[in-house]
Amino acid sequence: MLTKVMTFALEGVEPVPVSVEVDIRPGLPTFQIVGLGDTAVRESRERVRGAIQNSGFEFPMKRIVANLAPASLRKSGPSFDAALAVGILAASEQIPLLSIDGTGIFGELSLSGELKSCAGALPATEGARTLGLSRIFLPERACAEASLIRGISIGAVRDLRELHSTLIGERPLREVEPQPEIVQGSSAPDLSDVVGQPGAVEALVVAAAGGHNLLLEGPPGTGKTMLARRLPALLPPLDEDELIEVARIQSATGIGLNTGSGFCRPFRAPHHSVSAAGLLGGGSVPVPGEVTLAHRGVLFLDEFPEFRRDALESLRQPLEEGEVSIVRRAGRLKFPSRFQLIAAANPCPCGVGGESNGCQCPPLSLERYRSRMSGPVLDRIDLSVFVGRPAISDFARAGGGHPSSTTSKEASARVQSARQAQHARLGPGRLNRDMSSEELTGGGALETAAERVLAEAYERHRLSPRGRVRVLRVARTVADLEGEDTISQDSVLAALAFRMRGPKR
Amino acid sequence: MTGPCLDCTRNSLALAVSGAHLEAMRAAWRPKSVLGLEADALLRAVGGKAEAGLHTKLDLAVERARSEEQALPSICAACRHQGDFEFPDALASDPEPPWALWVHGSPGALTRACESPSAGVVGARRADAYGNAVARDIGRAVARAGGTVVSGLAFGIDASAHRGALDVEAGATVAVTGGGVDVVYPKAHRQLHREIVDRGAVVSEMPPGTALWKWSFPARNRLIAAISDLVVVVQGARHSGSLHTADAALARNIPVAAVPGRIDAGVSQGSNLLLADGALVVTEPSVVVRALGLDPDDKKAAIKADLVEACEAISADRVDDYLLQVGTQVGNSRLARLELLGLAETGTDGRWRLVG
Repeated sequence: MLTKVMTFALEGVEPVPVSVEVDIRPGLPTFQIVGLGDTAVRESRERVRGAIQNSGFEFPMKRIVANLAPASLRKSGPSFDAALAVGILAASEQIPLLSIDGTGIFGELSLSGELKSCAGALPATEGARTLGLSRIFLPERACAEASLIRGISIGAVRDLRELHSTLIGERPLREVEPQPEIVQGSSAPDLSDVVGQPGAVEALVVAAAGGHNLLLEGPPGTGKTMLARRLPALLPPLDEDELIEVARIQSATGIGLNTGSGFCRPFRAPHHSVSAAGLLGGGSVPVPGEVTLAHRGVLFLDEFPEFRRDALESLRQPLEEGEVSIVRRAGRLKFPSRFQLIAAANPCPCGVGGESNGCQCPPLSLERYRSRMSGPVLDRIDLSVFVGRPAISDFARAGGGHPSSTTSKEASARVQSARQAQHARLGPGRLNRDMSSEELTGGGALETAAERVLAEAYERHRLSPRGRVRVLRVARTVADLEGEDTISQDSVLAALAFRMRGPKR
Repeated sequence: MTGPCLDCTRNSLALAVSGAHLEAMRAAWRPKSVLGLEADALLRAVGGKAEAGLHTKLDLAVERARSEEQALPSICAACRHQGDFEFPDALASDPEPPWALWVHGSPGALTRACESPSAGVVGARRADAYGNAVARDIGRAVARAGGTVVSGLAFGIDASAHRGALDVEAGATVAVTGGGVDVVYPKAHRQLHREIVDRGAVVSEMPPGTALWKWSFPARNRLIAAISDLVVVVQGARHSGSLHTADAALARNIPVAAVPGRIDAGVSQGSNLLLADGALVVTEPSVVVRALGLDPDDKKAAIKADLVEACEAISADRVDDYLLQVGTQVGNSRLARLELLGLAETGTDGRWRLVG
């Protein structure tokens, strides 16, 4: 007898419908799974057999062939277990065929028959809705993330027995309530923890407001990482579509998705030994890399000059286009990767950075260290700020609760209003970092005095034409933060204070 | 607004209404010798058969001028006897003084040009790239050291010199024109004209609305020389108006400087001749600044009080406190301004320090 159960595989982070066909014929008792599965899929046989028998059902002692169609798609992971088990139960007439019509089943089985959560429940639910299925059964633990998807009924099941009794109608469907509004960012660390550093804090606010990439330079231990970690909370909350994009990636890669009150934009800080494939994504069945995990969030590269050159160079495409395309034997995949980059660097190899109290680096090694920072990536960083040692008096002040430090709440209110100004000017989805030179200067947007200062700076600081546009973009954001329609001279000057310094800028 | 006295207004207007006649008699008359004539004498001299008609015209013009006095609020005027501002001594005691002066912009800029160091930077309209660049550099250097750049708003060197002064944040510049101060000539300099009005002064001895004649230019040149403490000829052909300005300066005992140019370039021949005759050689812009008695290295001459505050914060190594105190955005823009002026920089340790 032949049955067909719908489940879903992942291609990158997108769902692909897979129908699990099970055919049972008289013959020697064998169980075979065909359809380009990896080891986890092959081992599925043992889990399915154990789960069926330990749940008190009969495992047919006949010749069983299961096919995962389409057969051309490489399949990996244990998420086909539940569908395989239900297929076998239906083909051996332990479940009526009619009950699995229009139903998706997704999840891993343990030998005891328990349905275990596995990566990809959210995309699978999306896929089921797109396919027009009326319901999908998911492991209980995976239901929280899947409930972000509306328009399909989601059944939570604990084990194979519960799945069986629901399918035959012995027990009502345990439907998952749709997710209420998610409160974002409430658990993120606060900006007011930062001691001193008014310049760096302001740079962080400007970066958040205009979506600019940021370079933090300074000796170790001065708070570069601390500052970077506070960026996600300054960014405006994700809208519903963006939230699902992020949740889809987190679900597909199996990172625990925090659907509780503390959901925040992603913050990824890969170690500097990461490979290009680790950053961009890769593997024979391509999986997303760090740039995709940081989608709609922050990618923090600490010890920027220590990263492998090829890894840094590979960031060019995602920075430019907001997505990565990966070509492998299995095919060509596109991953979203619109992230904000924060790079942090010591001023020199020893880290002291030519400060009066003894940097021992010979001049040549200093040169080499700086030249290790990838030019093409630096070109895409609009803002740069130095994070120096705070004065000792700043600590005394922080202890005494001095009100001078900015809180995340104040800062994100400023960011929000600047974002509104950008939305009004540029339309949805675009930020100041995407503006061209013509847009920035056209239509009287640049005041005459500002133009003059910019021209002076272009000559005096030997800006490159691209460096000039970067200054303009930042100036635009500064003006937005101040609530001004045109770019004033002071905005350009403030942007100049945040420009990249050094030879190649 | 009080404006110039009736006689002086009338005398100036007489020049304006007889412009065409002066033009026709250019061959017979040295225009500057008629500039000092009182109205009736002037009309008699130039009028011939048309004298009666000119009188009628003049009376009408005087009447209109008196009724329109209020119409142009941004323009003020004065003569030796009365007016909206103090008539500068340097012009009152000139051998060929103007009857009256009209100022579009700030009369203070004119006063400053006459009383503190100012350089008349003049030269060819058809200057080449070299001349324009040098004129602009000189304009910048003079303005940066706190001097005023005086020129004639013409194409070429004049415009470059004005622009150089305007490049400097608090740069002062005065443009002297041959026609009315509200008459933009050449028309292409509308924007430059407006900027000078905003940040300095456009000055003329002719009433508003007066058109330009050929004789207006040498007449204007003598005023440039009279206002300035030094006349710099950047480029100028033989027998050009620039040399006329230099002559006017010499006649007033005002030193003349000239910028060396290529000997095979017609546009530099006049200025090179001035050098041959002993003019001060401008080997670099700072020569002009020093000749005015200013210090070209005094970069702080033109900075404002708010920047002094920033300088103090840097030298006390309290930049963070300063940022907190004045606001990060404001503080950063002042620091960037100091950097732009070459007064401060940041090192590899990211710390601000003063330069020089």
